[in-house]
Amino acid sequence: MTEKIIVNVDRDLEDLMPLFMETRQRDLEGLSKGLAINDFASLHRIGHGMKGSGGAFGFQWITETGAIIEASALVNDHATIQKQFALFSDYLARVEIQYVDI
Amino acid sequence: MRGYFWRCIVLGTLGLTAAVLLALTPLGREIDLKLGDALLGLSAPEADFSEVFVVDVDEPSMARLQPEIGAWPYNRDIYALVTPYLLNAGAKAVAYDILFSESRSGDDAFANTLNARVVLASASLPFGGAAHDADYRERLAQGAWARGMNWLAQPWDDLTLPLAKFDKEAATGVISILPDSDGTIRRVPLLHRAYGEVLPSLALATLKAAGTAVTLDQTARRTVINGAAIKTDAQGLAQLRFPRNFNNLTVVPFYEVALAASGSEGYAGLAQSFNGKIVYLGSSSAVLGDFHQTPLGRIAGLHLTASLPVFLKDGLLLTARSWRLDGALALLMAALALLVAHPRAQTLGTLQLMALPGLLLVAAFMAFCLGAFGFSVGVLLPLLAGIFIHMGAVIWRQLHLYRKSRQLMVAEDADDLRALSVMHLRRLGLTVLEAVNGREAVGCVIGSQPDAILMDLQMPVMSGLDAVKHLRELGFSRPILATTAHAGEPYRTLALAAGCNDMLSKPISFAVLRAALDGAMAARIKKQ
Repeated sequence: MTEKIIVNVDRDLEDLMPLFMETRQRDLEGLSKGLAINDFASLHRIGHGMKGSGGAFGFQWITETGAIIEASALVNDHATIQKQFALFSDYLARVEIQYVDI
Repeated sequence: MRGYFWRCIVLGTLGLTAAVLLALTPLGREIDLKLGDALLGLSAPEADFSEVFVVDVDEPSMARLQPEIGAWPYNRDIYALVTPYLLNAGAKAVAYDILFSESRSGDDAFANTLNARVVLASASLPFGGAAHDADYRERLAQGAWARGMNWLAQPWDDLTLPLAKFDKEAATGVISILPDSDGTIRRVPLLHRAYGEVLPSLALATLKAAGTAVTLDQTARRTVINGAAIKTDAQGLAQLRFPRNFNNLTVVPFYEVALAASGSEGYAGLAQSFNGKIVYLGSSSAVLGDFHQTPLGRIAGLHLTASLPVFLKDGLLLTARSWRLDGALALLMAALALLVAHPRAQTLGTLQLMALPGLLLVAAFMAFCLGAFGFSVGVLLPLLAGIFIHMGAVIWRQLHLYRKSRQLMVAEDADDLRALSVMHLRRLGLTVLEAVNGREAVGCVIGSQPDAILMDLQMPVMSGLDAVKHLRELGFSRPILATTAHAGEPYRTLALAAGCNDMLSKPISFAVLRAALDGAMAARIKKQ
């Protein structure tokens, strides 16, 4: 069985989490499409968005991954983005939110 | 809900602390006593004083009797006449609220009339000056109900007994008045101690002389009347529960009794009035008598003394104040005030409307405690707790309204980040406008003139950078905070050059956002 990734999220953000996760799924789809057609402008925009969003909701890993994708898109580094895409896909499949009082 | 929780903690702590501090001041204690008196008045019962009869050496009596027996203080012949008259009339006990400590004419005749149904007063204050000798202490011991220091008894340096020839036959009881700090009588001592001897109060001695079962329970250190332990506080004082009719004793002038006892015509029927009664003799005249303030009004010392056996026998007493009950009531009041401060009750009208029923509810509860259980409660502490917390809630609400009157705009194309910023800003009590691109932001600003803007620099249709430049060109001078996932000085320089006041790097925490907004708003106020 795949190990879960537990992320502690401020209980106050509970109502926003469906929107956040939905946006990240769209990011995943966007990355997939961008990789398929080497659309590095789109990959850069998505990475930039992930970088700005993740940490604000408690998902620092997404911010760091977004930063790598954003930087890699600038230099058309398809392989790195592909690798981060795979990691991101796995992350979203395994992540489990735990609400806490912060 | 977290905001409400913290509001409860802050308001509750501050309100309760302020209430306790104020209630502990001398003024607070005085006010507390007066409020307690008012509550006592509201829940005062009706008492039955029919068992007591007062014979008053009042001014008409003094005037009427002066030609025949002279001026006060009277020789004892008159008491030698009156005492057997009352006893023969069937009085259960005859208590003298008069000191017989000095020799006078007629003492022997008076002494011959005394028996165990007659009670004479001992004074609680030193009357003779120097401490008494061993013989005197021996007499004191003979009249004592107990000895030793383990009794909760009012300590006195000395007691002035009636003459030795009197207390051989008659019982004695101590008269003492112990007003509270505001001069009001609320409590009376049941037992008194001098030279290690424990003597009863005049009220206890009179009840016993009248045939009531009065005992001292050595184990529980309690006075027991007819099998029921008398409520006292930690000092052994009984707290009186004054009834509404506290001043309605049956009183007859002394001269009528004196004339009846000497066989004068016209008073033959008076004797039957005393049958089965406890008769108190004393004076309420302006010349001799003393007057005391009680929670429900003024009363002559004689009438108060005469009332005390009824208070004790019928349980017209209060359970002593306890910090537990006072604290519980204060917490109840605090809880009510905090309920009013709940966000769902967050209009000023609701706050004010709910305060009055809340106060009335607690006042009714306190009156119920007094009325149903005879619990003596402190009123000021719960009242202050409720008022302070309520005031705090009103002020808090006003501040919240003030902050909410501030309007901010969030321009952000990412739905999740925009929703997050809106939530944070609303938590600060701000009204929030939203735009999803630079063009929409410009249109929104022109129409609504927000107090500040959070502007994402990278947005579709029109970038935040272009929107800021445009707004500054249009004369918009209020703070604009740039937000971007790009970090570094070049981006900051670009943002500031476009007209932004500051730049925040994403991801942005609530604390960072709040600090930046506070800074921007403070700078704007300073500039104004």
